[in-house]
Amino acid sequence: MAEHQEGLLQVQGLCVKYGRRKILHGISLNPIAPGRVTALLGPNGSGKSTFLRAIAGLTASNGQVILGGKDLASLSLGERAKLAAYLPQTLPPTVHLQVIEAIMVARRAGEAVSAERALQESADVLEELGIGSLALRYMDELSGGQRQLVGLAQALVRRPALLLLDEPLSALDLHYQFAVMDVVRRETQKRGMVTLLVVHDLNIALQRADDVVYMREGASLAQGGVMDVTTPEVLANVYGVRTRLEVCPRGLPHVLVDGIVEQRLQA
Amino acid sequence: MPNKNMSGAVEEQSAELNKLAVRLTGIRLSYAKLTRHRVAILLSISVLIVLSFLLDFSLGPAGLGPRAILQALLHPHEGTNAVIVWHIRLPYAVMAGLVGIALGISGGEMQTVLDNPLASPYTLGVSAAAAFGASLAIVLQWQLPYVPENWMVPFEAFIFAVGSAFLLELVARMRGHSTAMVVLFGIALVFTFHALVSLMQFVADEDALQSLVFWTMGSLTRADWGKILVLAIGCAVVLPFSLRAAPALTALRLGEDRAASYGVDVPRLRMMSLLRISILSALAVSFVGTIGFVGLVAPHIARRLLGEDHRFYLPGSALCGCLIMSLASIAAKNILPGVVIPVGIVTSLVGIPFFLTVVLKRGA
Repeated sequence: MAEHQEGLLQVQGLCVKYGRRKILHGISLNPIAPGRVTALLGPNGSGKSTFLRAIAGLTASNGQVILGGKDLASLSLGERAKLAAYLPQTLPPTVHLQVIEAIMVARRAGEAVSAERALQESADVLEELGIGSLALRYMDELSGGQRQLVGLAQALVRRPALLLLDEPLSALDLHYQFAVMDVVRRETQKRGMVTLLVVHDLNIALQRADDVVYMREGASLAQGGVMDVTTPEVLANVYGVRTRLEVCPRGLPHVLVDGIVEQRLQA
Repeated sequence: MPNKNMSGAVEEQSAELNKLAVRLTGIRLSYAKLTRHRVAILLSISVLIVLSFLLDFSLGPAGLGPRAILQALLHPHEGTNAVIVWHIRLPYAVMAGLVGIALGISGGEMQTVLDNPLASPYTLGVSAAAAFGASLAIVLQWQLPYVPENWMVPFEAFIFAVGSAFLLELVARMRGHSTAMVVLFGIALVFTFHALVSLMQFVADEDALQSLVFWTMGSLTRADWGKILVLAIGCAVVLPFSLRAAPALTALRLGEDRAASYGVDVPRLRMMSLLRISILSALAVSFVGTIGFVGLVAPHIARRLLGEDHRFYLPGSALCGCLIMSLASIAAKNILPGVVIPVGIVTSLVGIPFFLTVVLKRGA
């Protein structure tokens, strides 16, 4: 049975309200298998960030979020944090802490872990991410891209089964956009995590994600393999733009935008 | 050929592993060194506190020599020197240190949970509320049943200080309010209570006016062993809880969402922290009156010396507060020969230049 599969993420009828305003209108997703990167795409205000926060338990919600057979809503904040790691939209702040300390803090904040063990695990995760050389630098000396990689290390040091990333690329230059995406993809496969991330750049999503979920106005419009559901019709419906999908000589998909859909403007 | 390739690959891999092991050892050593360095700083501040305490205790308008002081210490019930040492010098010096610890740790936690470098019991109205409480006791002579008369002023000051801290807490807990709102609310409290104190001064008779004005200056001359005991117990009870919350507080410095995603119950952490702050800062200001800037300055010094790992930063802030108060107490007694200036005046005068440097540095 699918619901007993190890690490599978299921979302059923997820609703979020702020006061009287409904932000998410009962989102249900097809089960998402571990080891796959799923990109959440959609215009501003479509509820992508709220969706991630609701799954992480940071925003009150109704509906079911089941991870590997466990209902996340029934868990305490601490228990939930052990399973699901959430990376906020902002970059880690420039506090006067060494990188290794900042990661140890993430490991020890919600759980009683010895300093020695936290140090070992933090150093390990830095090596896995290929940023071991940053360990002894101070957070307030790092570039934005380096801080974001440290943010990822903070999320990964607790070995989560579910990784939730809210616009991890938004403040980064081109090099770090791909560096972060490559790390996310590699670690997702290696650790067998379910990874959901919000991105704005369609082309990065098409090239580096396995699946996509298109959202608009608090509802999911389409979900599936990147090339299966990304069509000019769906993009017109989601973003209100006219597009062409082209595959470059190396076989990578690219979305080219020709203009906006006029009818939608009038509607 | 393939064999040679393979051994090459193995060699490369083992070299890579070696490099990794070296780096891990490096990280471990450097972290241990950093920890030792911080412990050494805490110890140095403690040594300075001991020296300052000895100096504070041995200097004073009475001009006792070391021998007379020692004599008085050993024979607490003989002669006027014993009275000076046991009822004035010692209580003042101990009270100065304890008030510094209480204000240092309250300020340190407050700046973290309200995410504002200008937060302190003084800048957010706890001291002003205490002054209003004291003014009720001094001017209106409000008496409460079961409270001894000489405890009336600190008791009513405490009630108002705790009340204002809880108001801050209430605002902090309200949904949808940012920490900036809490700080603004605190500043509003300062103005409100200052206005109320002015009103009390306006209606007070001459004697009451004089004692009220003197109270708001913050002075160690109100210290006695009973009050010292209460404040010491307060510190001893609250400090372990602060230290236990240190990892979670450090995580909070990385941002509220981030801390929550590490499993920290942020609203609860903030509430418990404000509870600790209200107890300590209210006790401190109700016993000695308004003491400005110690709660603001001590955390900044601690942060600069020790970084933001709260396992070191909070004790550091407490110790810095202790040292500043002790030095201020020395200055208060020795700036004008034969006169003990209220210590609150000294701390404010030292504090303002520091305050400005911090603000200007932030702007640069």
